Parts: sequence; C-alpha cells; structure tokens
Amino acid sequence: MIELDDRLRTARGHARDWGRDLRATALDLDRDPDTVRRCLDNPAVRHLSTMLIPDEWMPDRPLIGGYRFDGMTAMERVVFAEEIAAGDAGMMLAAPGPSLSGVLIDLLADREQKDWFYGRMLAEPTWTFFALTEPDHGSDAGAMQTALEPDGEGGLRLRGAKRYIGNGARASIGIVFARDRPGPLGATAVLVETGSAGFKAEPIPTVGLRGAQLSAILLDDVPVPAGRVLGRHLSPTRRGVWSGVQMFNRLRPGVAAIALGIARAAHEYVASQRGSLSKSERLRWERTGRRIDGVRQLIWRAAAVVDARPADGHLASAAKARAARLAEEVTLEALGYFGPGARLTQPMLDKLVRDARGVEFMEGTGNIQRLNTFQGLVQGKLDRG
Amino acid sequence: MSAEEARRTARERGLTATLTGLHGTLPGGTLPCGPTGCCVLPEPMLRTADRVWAGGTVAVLDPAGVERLGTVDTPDGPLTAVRYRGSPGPGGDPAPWPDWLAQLAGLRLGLSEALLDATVVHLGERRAGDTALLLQQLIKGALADVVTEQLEIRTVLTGTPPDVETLADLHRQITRTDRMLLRLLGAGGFLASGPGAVVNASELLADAWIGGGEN
Ligand SMILES: Cc1cc2nc3c(=O)[nH]c(=O)nc-3n(C[C@H](O)[C@H](O)[C@H](O)COP(=O)(O)OP(=O)(O)OC[C@H]3O[C@@H](n4cnc5c(N)ncnc54)[C@H](O)[C@@H]3O)c2cc1C
Repeated sequence: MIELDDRLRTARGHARDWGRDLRATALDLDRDPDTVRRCLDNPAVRHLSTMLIPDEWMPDRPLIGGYRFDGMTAMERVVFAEEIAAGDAGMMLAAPGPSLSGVLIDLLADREQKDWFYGRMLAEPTWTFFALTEPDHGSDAGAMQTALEPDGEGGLRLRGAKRYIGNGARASIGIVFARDRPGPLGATAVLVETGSAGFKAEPIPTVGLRGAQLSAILLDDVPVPAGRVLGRHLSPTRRGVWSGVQMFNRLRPGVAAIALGIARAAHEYVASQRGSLSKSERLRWERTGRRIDGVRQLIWRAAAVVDARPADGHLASAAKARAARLAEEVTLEALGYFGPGARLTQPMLDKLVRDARGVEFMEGTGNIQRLNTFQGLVQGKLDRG
Repeated sequence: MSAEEARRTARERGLTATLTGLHGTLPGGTLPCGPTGCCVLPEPMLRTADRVWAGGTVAVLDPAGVERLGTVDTPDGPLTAVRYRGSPGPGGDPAPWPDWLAQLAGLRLGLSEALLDATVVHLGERRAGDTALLLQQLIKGALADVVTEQLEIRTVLTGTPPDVETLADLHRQITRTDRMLLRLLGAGGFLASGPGAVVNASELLADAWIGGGEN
C-alpha cells in the first residue's frame, strides 16, 4: 500500500474539511451554476483558483498547515481533487482558476505568455476553459476541423465550433486547439479572450456535474494575435502532439480522483444517512469501502508515475477508466440501502447518481482509456516487471 | 396494456405516451404509489386521481396527503413526482403490484430498445480516423452485450408472469443496460435534453417503485 507523506497527509486533512463545507451549497450549484459566484471565498474554491500557478508568480501564497501547495504535481492534485469532489464534484469543476489550461500553460507558454496568463489569474477570480472537443470529433480529436489561419496582417484568426467545454460561457480566457495545416502535426493551441469579436459561447445543460456549465462555443473569425500561439518557440511536433499527450497524461489522474471522490461521497452518504445497517448490509458496505481504497491506490500510483515520467500515461488511463466505472457502480449501489424512492426523496443522493455519469467522458472515454492501457501492456510500460 | 404492449408502445411512441396509456388501464383515476408512497406520472393524471395505492392496498385518495417532490424532465415535457403520505384505510383491495411492475419493465425495456436503435445510427455516423465508430471491435462487443441483455429481459418478461423479486431484478438489469448504451453515446448522452434525459427519467420510474441497489 502507498502511504502519503506528512505534507500530503496535511493537504488531505485540510481539503477534507473544505469538502465537507461544500456540501451546503452543492444542491444550489446543481440548480444554478452561477452559485459559484457567491462561493468565491470558500477555501476550496480559493485554493482551486490559484492551483497550477507556480510559486514564482505567487511568492506570497498562503501556507496550508505549514506547507506550500501550488498544484504543480499530479500527486498533489489527486489528493485535493478527491477530497473536494467528495464534497461537491460540481464545485471542483465550477471553480475559477487555471484548471485544465494550467497544465498546458506550464508545458507550452513562453515567459511573456505566462506573465500575462498568471497575471490575469491573480488579478481577480478568472474562469478559464480548454476547448478541444468538437461537435463531430470527440475521442478522435486528431480529426478536429477548427481552423487557425493567417489574417494577412501578421495575426491569425480562428474559425470553427467546439462543444462540451467546461466553463466556456463564463470564462474570460481559454485555450482553443485548432488546425493550422493538414496532418497529425497540424494541431496548435492558442490563447483566446472571450471578449474578442466573433467569440460566442452558450451553456448546454447537462444531467449532472451541472456546476461545470458545459458550453457550446462558436468561433466566427476570432482574431488571435501571433503572440497568443502557445509553444511558438518550440518545434511543431513538440507544441502539437507531444504536448497534447503530456498534458492529458498529467491531467488524467486528477479526473480519476474526481470520480473517486463521487464514489466516496455516495459511500459516506450511506453511513451518515442510513443509521444502523444489518449485518449483511454492513459487510457489503465495508467491501465497497475496500474497493474505493483499492482504486485510490491505483490513482496514487498512476499520479506518481506521471510525475516521474510524464510521457507514461498508461497507468493513468487504467486508473481513470476504473475510477469512472466505480463512481457509477457505487452511486447506484448506494440507492439500494434506502429502498424505493431514494432518488426522488433524497436530492443529494440523486445528484451523486447523476454526477457519476459524467466522469466517463472527461479526459477520454472508458474505451479510449482501455485502448491506451492495452498499448501500455504490449509496450511493456505498465511496470509489471 | 400488457408488458409486451407497453414495450412496443414505448419503443415507438416514447415514455410519456406509454405512461399515460398505462394509467388509462387503471380503474378510475388511480395514483399508483410505490411501497414508500412515491409516484412519477403525467400531471393530468394526478389532477384526476381519486383513489391511491397506499400501504399495498387501494384506498380513497386524500388530496391533502399528496406531497409534490418536483418534476422529472423528459423530451415530451416534465412528469410530476409525488409522495403520498395519507393512510391506507381499512379493507381496501390489494394493489395489483406485480402487473404494474411488469408493465413498467415493458415500458423501460421499450425505451432501452429505442435507445439501442438510436445508438447504432449515431455510431454509424461518427468516425474514428477513416472507420465508422460502429465498426470498432470494442463498440461491436459492447452493442452485442447490450442486445443480449435486452433479449434476456424480454424473454423473461414474456409468457408466464415473473414474480415480484424477478421483476425488481429486471428493472436493475434495464438500468445497467441503459448505462452501457449511455457510455456509447458519448457526451451527447449526458445532456439534459435527448436520450440522456430519457434514461434518467426511466431510472426515476424504477426508483419510485423498486429502488436501486446491486444486481
Ligand atoms: C462533464 C464533461 C466535461 C467535459 N469537459 C471538456 C472540456 O473542458 N474540454 C473539451 O474539449 N472537452 C470536454 N468534454 C468532452 C469530452 O472530452 C468528450 O466527451 C470525449 O472526448 C468523448 O467524445 P464524444 O463525447 O464525442 O464521444 P465519441 O468520441 O463520439 O465516442 C462515442 C463512443 O465511441 C467510443 N469510441 C470512440 N472512439 C473509439 C475507438 N477508436 N475504439 C473504440 N471505441 C471508441 C467511445 O468510448 C464512446 O463510447 C467534457 C465532457 C463531459 C461529459
């Protein structure tokens, strides 16, 4: 079994308290995604809003239990993500801050771009989005159609559509992936301001994880200054495919941890709301607890591997697929402890069941993760020796 | 309406039309509540109800005992969710539980079958590289698993009526099957409109009368 060190145990303890506080607003956020705007002082939201801003840009970051946490390692992120998501996965995804874009900024942005991006984050709570998926291209992101073209005056313009983009409609900055030439090396990421001409984003209501406010984005000749192309100082390979792979590898354990948090929330809900369990129920409940613990171990191991070798995301894929399935299974099982009408009369349990359905698709579906895990197996990259 | 008729109607005409049809087969205006008093139904049916299934028997409905829990969204508009808190009253006839659970299973299976049809079309239109998603082996395997579940459920529902425990298992099996399909639909199946909402409503029907749990 993997044990957390003192620093991460401290993080876990604090984040667990923050997570509990989030339960008070979870149903409000589920009804109205704008609820996040009145939760900006919540410690979890505050933490998320500066997670993935390196210390260099935030030298006076408040300490937590005597330690500094900037969220730059996957291990640190999974510890916080599980606890915050166990409080409210919706808020985990609704919070302002660098979020998914943060990892790509760290990988690809040059000094000037980092100064600009982190500066905006630190000036005020700022939502960001990360737009890869298109209406016709999800898993097969390599086939994306959104085009990045020269505008003839030294700048560029973006044309296309993105869909299912978390926080798209409330963000003021985001990263858009687009194609600047045909072929697999033709993908480029650019920083976009949502106030730009031709940018339009509309929320698309979802069954669960409603805090994330998934959005449909329309890019109608959005002007992009040449200085907003990420990785402009790198070769096309490094700024395209290489960065995409590295980024998803680093993010995936965190998504797995969100799924784990949802499963844990349902498991804990049973213990806190059901009162006494029969012997067989208790045995079943304990067994579920051990399944949750097992998946947590897998996620921790995946995070440690990704931190040591960012190109190795196969274990992270295994952990993500496993955790997403666990979230669905444990939330459905939890209903069984309450009998008929559990979802209709217990809104929090109903929300967990709905939220659990969404993690399957974030950062790659179960099938895509399984295919990736298979690659790890046949390429000998799963540390099985 | 038999379970088989409910299945066919749901597959062709959807949830609300079938549920309305099922209510039409109950004598008078009945609020057919589950064991904990919950019921999901079209609003007009609630307005005309004058009797209720309470504590497993048929009783006269006390309008003051009806608590509104909210609405359940479907593509045809919202259904109403209520809980009846009135007392059973003495000597009522037993509520025809097994029939109702079988009809509901037929309804939910029909919705699941329609979802399978829609999923096959959807995956035929989407691509991974040069190949339709429908032709990816993992997808073929998953669709084969889904149709196998559906055929098993349909076979058990047909002929001699299953007992209540079996029906409860069938409902959980339908939920599991629908979840397999939702994974295949991608994020489009997670939207509040469209197939993801139908599955959510179908699960809530099962919740009112059966509840969830391991299967
Ligand atoms: C809550 C949530 C948040 C999200 N946030 C963002 C975001 O911030 N930014 C963003 O860009 N996107 C986001 N997405 C979108 C997400 O990345 C996509 O949903 C995901 O990539 C899958 O794409 P798709 O939905 O189009 O499904 P599809 O790619 O159409 O997949 C449909 C089915 O086919 C399977 N499949 C696909 N390819 C293969 C294959 N080669 N072999 C076998 N099976 C295959 C899939 O597993 C799935 O079951 C989010 C989605 C959700 C639900």
